[in-house]
Amino acid sequence: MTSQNIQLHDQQHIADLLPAYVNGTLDPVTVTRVREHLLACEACRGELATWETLRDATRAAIATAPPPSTNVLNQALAAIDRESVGARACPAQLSDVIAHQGGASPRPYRSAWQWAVSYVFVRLWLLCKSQALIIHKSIWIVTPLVVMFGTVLSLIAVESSGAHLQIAESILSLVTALSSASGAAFLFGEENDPGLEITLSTPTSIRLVMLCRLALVMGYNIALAAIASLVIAIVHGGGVWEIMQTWLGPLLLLSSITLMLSIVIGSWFALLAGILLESLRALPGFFAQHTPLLQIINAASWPTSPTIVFLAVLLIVFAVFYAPRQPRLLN
Amino acid sequence: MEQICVAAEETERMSGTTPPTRDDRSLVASIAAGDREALAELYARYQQLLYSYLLQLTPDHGLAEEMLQDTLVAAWKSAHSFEGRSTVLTWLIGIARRQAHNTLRQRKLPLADEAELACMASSEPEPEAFALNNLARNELLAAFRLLPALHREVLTLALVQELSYEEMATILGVPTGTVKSRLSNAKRMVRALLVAKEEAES
Repeated sequence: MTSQNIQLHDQQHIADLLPAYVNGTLDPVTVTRVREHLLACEACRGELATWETLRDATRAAIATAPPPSTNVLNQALAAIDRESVGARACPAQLSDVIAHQGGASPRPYRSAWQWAVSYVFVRLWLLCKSQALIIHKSIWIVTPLVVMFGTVLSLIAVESSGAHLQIAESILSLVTALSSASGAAFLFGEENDPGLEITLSTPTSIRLVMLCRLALVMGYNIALAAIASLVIAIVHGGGVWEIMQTWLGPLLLLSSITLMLSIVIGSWFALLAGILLESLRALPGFFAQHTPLLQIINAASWPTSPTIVFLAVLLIVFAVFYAPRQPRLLN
Repeated sequence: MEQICVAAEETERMSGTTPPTRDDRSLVASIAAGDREALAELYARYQQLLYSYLLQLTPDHGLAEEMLQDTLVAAWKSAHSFEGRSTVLTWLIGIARRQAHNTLRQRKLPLADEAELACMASSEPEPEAFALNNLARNELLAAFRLLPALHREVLTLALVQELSYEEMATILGVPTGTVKSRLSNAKRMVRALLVAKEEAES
């Protein structure tokens, strides 16, 4: 046994550290340790030489790689343009960037800007069209049935109770608000949306998708309720706008409440809460008079007022901004 | 609106006149703010490194260029989320690798990280080391090109891009122990290829 061999066994070999030693990413303390070991150990010196040879070979092999063709950058910029145009306030065309890089004066932006506006409209139209297919089919069938049922019920009530338009209005208001609210409660969430995973993986923001769906469902409900109001106004007499005012506020508020609840907690909870709120609203007046809480909920059955609309918009804005952070939508 | 566009154009022109000694991180910050020239500059710095890396994952030059293009678009989109915990090069290679794997998966081409040899890296030097250092250079080059993509990739990351074990582990999505064993397997594979050639000739 020579002294060298003893030293060799004292120290641990460092073969696994040699690649990092060769590429210079070891910390100074380890570098010292490796150097000390290399002085004593011939086998590891051989390994080091192997790694150095391998490094030179790898570098030589990489150096023979041709440069990428010059249009890669331009094609990437074009792809970025295609994706970002419309989303940004100032879409610069690729040709502008190239012209600018070449020192030439940039083209006027007017045409690009006009093109971007029409692009936004086309995009929204396509988005609405695709989302209309994803929203649960039952919404398109059930809503008109429910509204029709409400209309018939209010007409019958008016006929039997002897010309009390108010009763017809409140029945229509209850039915349409509930219909729109239950639609809004089932717009989002994995259990309602088979395409959610795909939606989330596309560059389209989930917020935009949400707004689009909400607009579709609420718009559909409002349109149907407006038709119902027209029917009642024709059959019974009275102003269409006056009838519409009785349900528009409740519809907006209740839908935004259920939308918010469905995103924060869950669709079924939102639906139950919506039904509960509606039934409280429908309770006879004498009961409400004895309970202060119910009086607040029941306050004049929420006629359409700026406060109601503002409150509804506030809830929708909250829901839209909260949605992307919602684990229920992200997982 | 046209005025805003002109204003944006002005700032772009001004940023173009700044000296070319901007560091990588400030370039990424500019990219996050929507500066195309910063993207072009970053690309000019790293195009060769990224492209040669991608060529280790696919022999198809056209496909590698497509991946490089995807890498640029992805870097543009995710620049705002770059936190500076790694170097810009590591970040870019990580993006390039993800894009490459997406493309390869879409086209049902083999991915690099399949079928890894179950061989641990050892701190022990190998006995009877086949002397690589005395070999002709073109023989080594030929052996390198014959390596599986998995091994060419890790050798490129370690010996050309000069990344640390931790950086490679992040990019490859494996523990540092696996990086070490993969490197040692790559070396062993080069040696085995050269031995096989030697035996075939004699």
